Amino acid sequence: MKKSVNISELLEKKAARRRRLARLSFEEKIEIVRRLQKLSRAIKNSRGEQGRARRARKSAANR
Amino acid sequence: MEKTLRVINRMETDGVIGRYAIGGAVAAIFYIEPFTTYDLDIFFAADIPGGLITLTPIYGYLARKGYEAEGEAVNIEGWPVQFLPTYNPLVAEAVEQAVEIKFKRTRTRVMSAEHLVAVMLQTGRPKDHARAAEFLEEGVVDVARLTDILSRHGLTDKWQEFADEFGS
Repeated sequence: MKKSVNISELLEKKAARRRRLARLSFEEKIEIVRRLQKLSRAIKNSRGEQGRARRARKSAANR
Repeated sequence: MEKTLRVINRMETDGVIGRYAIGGAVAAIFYIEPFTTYDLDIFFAADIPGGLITLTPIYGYLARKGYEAEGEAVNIEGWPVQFLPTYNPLVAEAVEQAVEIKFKRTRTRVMSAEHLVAVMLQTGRPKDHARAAEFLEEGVVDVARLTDILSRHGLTDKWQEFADEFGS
């Protein structure tokens, strides 16, 4: 299952992706930003829930 | 964001703010690949006598239209908008020479790529340098124009520091 990775090819692909995204229209880019915002909020919320659950478990264990 | 921009255009027409331009992260996104940001930074022409300016008329106007303050920003149609007066000659010039664009059917202005890079170098945080490097890599900057802006605003040393760091 080992696959060799050509780092320079990988970096070139990343750069090409960055260039492709940079060429999108402003409207399309803002749409992506909106999606990133939603995703980031969802991660923050789930972290908050996990934190609350962890604190609840800890406090139950200390009782 | 179109509705947000319409409200801001209306503010300009009503004389609540002077000429404005989008700056900060959203303006950067106009030129480079999109990244996560939450605020829309609106820079507006303003005289700042003694370095102090009150944003009360702006907040009051928006509150009357039902847009409430959220910390440092005002939520306008789903976008937290931060209103920033032109706090130095470089930012004032960036607003004055901002590029007219259209977002869908709404006219607006964004700071030029060269002014954004100059402001990034002036601010000088690591993330500003990283973003400035991205602007240069994307080839969206007219280097002659940038050099002129930097020399007029006393930022040549900052450019040199940046060039040393990023090897441009």
